This record gives sequence, structure tokens and C-alpha cells, in this order.
Amino acid sequence: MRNSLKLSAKALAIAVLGLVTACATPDTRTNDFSQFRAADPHSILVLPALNNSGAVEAPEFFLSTVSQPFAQRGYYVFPANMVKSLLEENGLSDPALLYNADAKRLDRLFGCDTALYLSIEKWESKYVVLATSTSVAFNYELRSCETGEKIWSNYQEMKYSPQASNSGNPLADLFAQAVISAIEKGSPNYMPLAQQANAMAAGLRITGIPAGPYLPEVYGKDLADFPVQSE
Amino acid sequence: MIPRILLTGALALGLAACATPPRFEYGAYEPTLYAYYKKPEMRDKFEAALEKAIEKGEASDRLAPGLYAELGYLHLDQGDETGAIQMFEKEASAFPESAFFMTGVVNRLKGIETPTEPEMVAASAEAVPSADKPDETETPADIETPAVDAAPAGV
Repeated sequence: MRNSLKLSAKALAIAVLGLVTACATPDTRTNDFSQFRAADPHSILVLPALNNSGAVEAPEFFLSTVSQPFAQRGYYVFPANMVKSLLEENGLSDPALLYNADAKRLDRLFGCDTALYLSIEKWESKYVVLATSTSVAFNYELRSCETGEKIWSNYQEMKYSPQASNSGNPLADLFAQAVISAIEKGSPNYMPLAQQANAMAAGLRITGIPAGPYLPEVYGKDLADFPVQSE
Repeated sequence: MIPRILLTGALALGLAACATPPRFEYGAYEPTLYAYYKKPEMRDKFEAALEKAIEKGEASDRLAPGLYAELGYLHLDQGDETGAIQMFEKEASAFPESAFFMTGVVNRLKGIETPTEPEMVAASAEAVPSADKPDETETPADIETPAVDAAPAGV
């Protein structure tokens, strides 16, 4: 019994994680990429995130997960930790100052094509009776360093909850939930959620960003997935 | 019950496997940077991960952007200016998008003024950690900051 419970808890965890990670629920929204296409950015400066959550440690943790998914779309992404440190040394450790300023000024410092403005809207773990639910939510906004204009934005919210799975055996579910909740309460694991949110923000068709110059096979050829609506 | 759950898990994982192989080799950049932010003493792990990711990326022609620069910054932070400059120059030559930024930092380290970009010089002058003056207190307030226009906007 003990063994099987352990196994089922593990399987459940995998199943739940699977649900969280499952790719691409089809998105029927339309988006206009004419501004993005016109700007034709080659590089992205990832800025330290504005923190609208109650978790003080969230911005740094989140920052570590942003560069890769955006770079994998085919862009040069500036060294996020170096940029963050330089901004701090320049008295710009408060993202609010940065975010209210003109993106064009960043161009003179970094020579960036675009800057990625981020805000953390949620970074929390709630324990309710037997189940713990962990959630994160982020805003993404890409602004041209040349004009300061917004050329793309996105919002992602991810939730991990052991309640998401149902084996059909209520008692076993209850046990499994208690096990997972205890683990989750001990150290809520935000990182996979943040990683998944970023991957979806950057990578999904229609809502993500078009392929950049470092993906020459698709660069400029993905108009069906990232359409230009005007004309 | 167990087989059914396992099946669900397998199906879900199967769905999740629709990602294409990554363009860039980041190695353990993410987990080690996270660890470094969590505990500053994990810095060596971050440095080692950068070195390894660079090595693998160079070998597979999938070198990730920013890694030379991140490593260079760690060198600089430890007072190794020569090592830092070397990395910044490598970043600039591997990724032309970074050349402006990297050249600015390198010129500043070498004491070369770039009069055409006064703002950048002012900024990067303070941007470089002064390893030889560890006691100097930070005075961010009187630095000519590049960006405090305070336009009423937000994300």
C-alpha cells in the first residue's frame, strides 16, 4: 500500500505537471504584427521586472528564466544579469524609474533594437485544506528602442494545483494530494511555472513573437502564424 | 488506478514534447543563475555553468547570446579586467548586435573616452565595478542617469 501510494503520488505529479506543460491550446485570437514586422528587431534587452506581487525575491528568480525562451525564437538577447547589475550601479535598481522612462534612452546605452518590459502580477502559493495551489502571472511588453513604441505584448498566467487531476478513486486522490501539498507548501516551486509562462509568451503562434534572424529557415516566412492585418 | 494515471501522464508528456530542438545552447544558465540569486555563494556554480555552456555551444555552433558577456562581467566583478575585456570582445565579435554595448564597456575599461556618446560614457563609467576601490560607497543619486524622464506610463 505504502509503495503504491508513493508511486501513484509520483504518477499524479507527473500527470499534473503534464497538464501544466501541455503545449498550445489552439488560440483563435488574432493579432496584428505590422508594427513588429516594420521594426524588424534583431535584439532584445531584457529589463529587470516590475514587481506587483508580494514576493520580494520574485524579480531576480523570474529574470533568470526570461532570456532563453526569447533567444530561442531567433534573437540576440543581451546578458540579463550583467545588464541588471549595470543598471543597479547606475542608480536604476528601481524598475519603476526605468519603466516610466523613454525606451529610446536605452538605445544610447545598449544599442538595443527592442527592450522587454516585464511585470510580475502574481507569484503566490495558497494552502487550502489539503491542496496547495501555486500561481504566477506576468505581463510582457516589447518596446522599440528606436521609437519607444510598443510593438508586442502578452500576458501569461500559470497555475499548479494538485487538484487538477482526478484518478477516479477519491480516497487515493486525497492521500496523493496531501503528499503533494505538503511538498508544495514546504517549498513552492515557481520556477517551472515561470519557465512555462515564458515559453508560451514567446513561442505560441498568433500571440508569441515571430521568428527572428537567428532562425533563418523561418525568419520572415511565418506570416501565417504572425500575420500583418492592415491594408 | 495506477496504470490509468501513468497513461494520463504519458499522454500529457507526449503532448508537451512538441517543442523543436533549441537554437541556442544555454546549458545550466537558468538553474545556476537562479541558485546564484538565491545564494550568492553559488556564484562559482554559475561561472562553471557559463564556461560549460560556452564550450558546448562553440562545439555545436549553437553558442547562446550573452554568455561570454555574463562570464566577462563575473571576471570584472572579481577584479580581473583583462579576462573581462577578453570576454566582452568575444561577445562583440560573435554577436554584432552586442558590439555597441560591448565596445562601450571595453573602451571605458581601457580608459578610452568616446566623446560622441557622452551619455553612455557617463553611464558606463559608473557601470564598471571598481574592484580596486572596494570601500567607495555607492552614490547613485548624483550619477547622471540615462533614463529618469518619468513619463506617465507603465506596463
